[in-house]
Amino acid sequence: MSRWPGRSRRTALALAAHGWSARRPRRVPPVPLALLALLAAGATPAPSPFPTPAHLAGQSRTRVLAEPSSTAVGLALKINAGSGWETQDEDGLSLLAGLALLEEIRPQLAALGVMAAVECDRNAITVTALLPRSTWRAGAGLLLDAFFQPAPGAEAVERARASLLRTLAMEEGNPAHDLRHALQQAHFGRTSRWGRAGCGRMAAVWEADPPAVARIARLRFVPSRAAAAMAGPVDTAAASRLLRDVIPDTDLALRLPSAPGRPSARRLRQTRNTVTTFLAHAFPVRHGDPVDHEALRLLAFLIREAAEPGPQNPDVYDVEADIERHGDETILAIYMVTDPATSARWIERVNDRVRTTAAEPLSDAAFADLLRRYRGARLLALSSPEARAYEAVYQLFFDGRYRPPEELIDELSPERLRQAARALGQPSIALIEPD
Amino acid sequence: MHLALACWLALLLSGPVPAEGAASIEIGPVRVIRPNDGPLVLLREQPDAPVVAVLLMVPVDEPPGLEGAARLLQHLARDQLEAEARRFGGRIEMRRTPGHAVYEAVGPAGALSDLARLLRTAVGEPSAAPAELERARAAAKAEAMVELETPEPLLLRRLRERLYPDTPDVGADAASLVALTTADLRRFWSTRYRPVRMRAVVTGRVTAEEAQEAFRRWPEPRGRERAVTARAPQPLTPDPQLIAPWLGVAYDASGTAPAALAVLTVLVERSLQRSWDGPARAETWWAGPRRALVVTASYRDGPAPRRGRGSGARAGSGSAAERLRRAIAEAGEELTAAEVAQIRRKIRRDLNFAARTPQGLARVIAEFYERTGDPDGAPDFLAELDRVDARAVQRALRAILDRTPVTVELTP
Repeated sequence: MSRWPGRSRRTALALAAHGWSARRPRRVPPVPLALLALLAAGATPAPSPFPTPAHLAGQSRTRVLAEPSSTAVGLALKINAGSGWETQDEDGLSLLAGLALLEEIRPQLAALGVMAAVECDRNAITVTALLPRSTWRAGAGLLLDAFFQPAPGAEAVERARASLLRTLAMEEGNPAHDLRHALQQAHFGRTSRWGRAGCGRMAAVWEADPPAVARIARLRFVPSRAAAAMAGPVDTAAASRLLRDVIPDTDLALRLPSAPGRPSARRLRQTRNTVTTFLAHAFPVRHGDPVDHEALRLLAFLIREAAEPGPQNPDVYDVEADIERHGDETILAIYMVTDPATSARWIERVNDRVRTTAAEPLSDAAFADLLRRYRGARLLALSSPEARAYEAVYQLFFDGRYRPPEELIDELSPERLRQAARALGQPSIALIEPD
Repeated sequence: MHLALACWLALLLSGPVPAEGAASIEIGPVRVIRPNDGPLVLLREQPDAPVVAVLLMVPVDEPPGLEGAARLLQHLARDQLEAEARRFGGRIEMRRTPGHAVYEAVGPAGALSDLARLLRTAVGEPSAAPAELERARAAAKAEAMVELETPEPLLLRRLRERLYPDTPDVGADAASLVALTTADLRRFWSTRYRPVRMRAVVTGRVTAEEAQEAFRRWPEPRGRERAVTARAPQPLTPDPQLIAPWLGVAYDASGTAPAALAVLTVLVERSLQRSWDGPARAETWWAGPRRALVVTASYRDGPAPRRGRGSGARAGSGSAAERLRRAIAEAGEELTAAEVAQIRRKIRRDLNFAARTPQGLARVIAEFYERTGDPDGAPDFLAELDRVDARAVQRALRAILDRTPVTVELTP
C-alpha cells in the first residue's frame, strides 16, 4: 500500500492554522490504580479482559540466529504495547512512547553506526535495528537498556511527537491508510478499541503530555512483555546472554490482548474524492478452529497472485494480502485498488477464491508450482539479517517458539491449504469509493 | 577499449558515523572458478543465507552507430525473464553501467541452476520479432530520456563528456536507439556476448561445485566482427526539468589512491552540507587508473551561500562556480585525525550494510571488480582504507586542486 498516493500535509497545516501547538499541554485523566495493576507485567488476574492463550505459556522470549557469513547484524524487539491495549485517552501514546525512547539514545546509536526504527500495530510496538558487526554488542545493549529503563524525558517526547505528527499528517486522509482503518471498523465495530486507527490519530498525539507518555513507557515497555531476536555474525553465547539478561525466559506467557468476538460480517462504505475504488476484505479465522498460520500465508499469497495488476487484471491497480494477528484472533486481510466499475465483481472474485480453495485441494502439480513460487517469495523477503530477526521475534511473540521458515514451508500440503481456507468465516468488507 | 568511467562508489550516504574499533569486514574471501566454456565465476559462499544471487557482467563497447544496443538487448529479454523468474519466486533486475550490461537474478537457496539458466537465456540470441523490437525500443528510449531530463544524471553525463572526451557516450544512448535494426542487434550480440568474456558474481547459499556446474558449457554465439555502417546522429534534445540552477564540478584525480579519494569525497560532501546553501553531493569516479572527484550542487539564483567551513566571508563572493570550487578547497581546512577515522568507519559501515543481502554483496564485489579487475578488489580497498590518514587526505586534496576542474551549469 506504500505505493498509494498520500494527501500531502494539508491536515497538519490546517491544525496549525487553528492554533494547535505541539507543546500545548493537556491533562490525561489518570488511569485507575486497579487497571494499572491489571496491565502490569506478569499479573494474571482471573477475570482479565485479555485472556492468555494457553499455548503461549512457558516459552522462550529470545532467539539468536548466528550467521557468520553476514556482514551486519539485525535486531528485532517486539513489545506487547500496541494500540489494542490503549484506552481512548491513550490513543497513539504507545507509539509515541516508543519513538521517544528511541529519541533518547539517537546520538549514541548514531555514534555506533546503528540504524533503528520503531513501528506499531494493534498488538505490539516493534523496534528493528541494523548494527555494524564491529559494534553490535554496544549497540544492542544500548537499545535494549533504553527500551526497558527510565521513561523518556520531555525533550525526547517533543522530538518524537514532531516526527510522528509529520508521519500521521502524510497518512491521515490517504485512502490507502483510511482503508485499513475502515476495515478494522467494519470488522470490530466503530466503538471497539480494535476499530481505532492502529497507530493513533494526529489530534490525540498532539495533545498527549509528556508525563502520560512516560507513564505508558513505564507501564508497558517492560521486559516481561517483550520478545527479542538477533541475526548476524554474532557470538551466539554472548548475544544470548545479552538478550536474556534483559528479557529472561519465564514461565509466564506474553499476555496478548484478545480482540472481541464479532457478531456478524459487516460492510462499511465511504466516499471520497478519488478516481479509484479502495476495497478490503477481512476474513476471520473462526473461533475454535486451529489456526495454521503458514498455510494462511500461502492462501494470502495465492489470492494476491490471482488479483495482481497486469494484463490479466487490467482493472486492478494494486493488491496486498496480510495476515493480521490480534492476540488469539487471526484475520486474512486483502487490500485492493480497482476500477470503480469492477469493484463489486472483485468483492465476489476474492470471496470465490476463498470458497473454491476451501472446497477442494489443489492438484499436486498445481500445488507444487504454487509452493515453489511461494517459497521463493517468502525466502527473498528474508534476505537481510534484520528481516530474519523480525521473523524470529514475530514467531516468539505470537507462538512462543521459533522454527526456521524453510521447515514451515516444506511441511505445507494441499490439504493444509484447503483447511486454512475452510477455517475462514464470512468476511467484513470496507470500500472507499469515488463520491 | 571502452572504459568503465562511472562506477560510482557507494560512499556517499550522509548517515551517522560508527565508533572506533571496526573489525575486518567479511566481503571476502572471494573464490574464482573457471567453468569450461562459461563465464568466469567470482563466488562468495554464505551458508547462512536463505537465498542465492547471481550478477552477470557482460563487457560491452558499443561502436558508433550501435550506441544503445546493449540496453535494447536487455529490454528485449526483460518480459520473458521476469515471467520465468516468477515461476520459482525469483527476481530479475538489469542495468547498464558504462562498461557492462549487468543482469541480476536472485532466488531461493537451491535455485542456482534456474537462475543461471535464466541468465543464459537473457544473454542469448535476441528475438527477431519486429513488434518486440519496437516495444523494447520504446522502453529503452523512455529510460534514456529520463536520464536526459533529470538534472543530476544530465550534469554527470555532461561532466563525463567534458572530462573524458575520448570516451564513447554510454550514459543515455537514445540517439541511435531509433535506428537500430534486428540485424544490427544480432551482429552486435554475436561479437560481444561471448560467455568467456562475461563474469558472474555468485553469492548466498551455494557451493563451488554447484557454481561450477551452473556456468559450464554456455553456448558460444556464431558470428564474426564486422564493421557497422556509421549513421548520421539523431540526437535527442535534453529538456531537463529544472526549478533551480544546477552546477557540476569534476576534478581529475588520476594518480590518487582510491581509498584516500573516497575519504576526501565524504569529507567534501560533509563540508558542503555545512556550507553550501542547497543540496550538494560528492562522488568518486574510479575505473582503473582513471579517477575523479565530482560534485553536483543546486543553488538559489543570486544569494550567497551559508558560512563556509574555514572562511565564510570568502565563500560568499564570486560566481556560483567559484564559490563551489572555493568551498571544496576549504573542505580540508582544520582536518583532524579523528575526523578522518570517523569517515573511514562510515565508509566501512556503509559497505557492510550494502552487502548484508546476497544481492547487495554481489553488487559490492562486482563494482570493485569492475574498477580494479581484481576479485578481491573490495577487501583490498578496505585494507587500504585503514591506512588512510589526515596527511593522505590533504595530499589528495592538494593534488586535485592543482588541476583545472571541468565545470558544467544547467539553468532553468
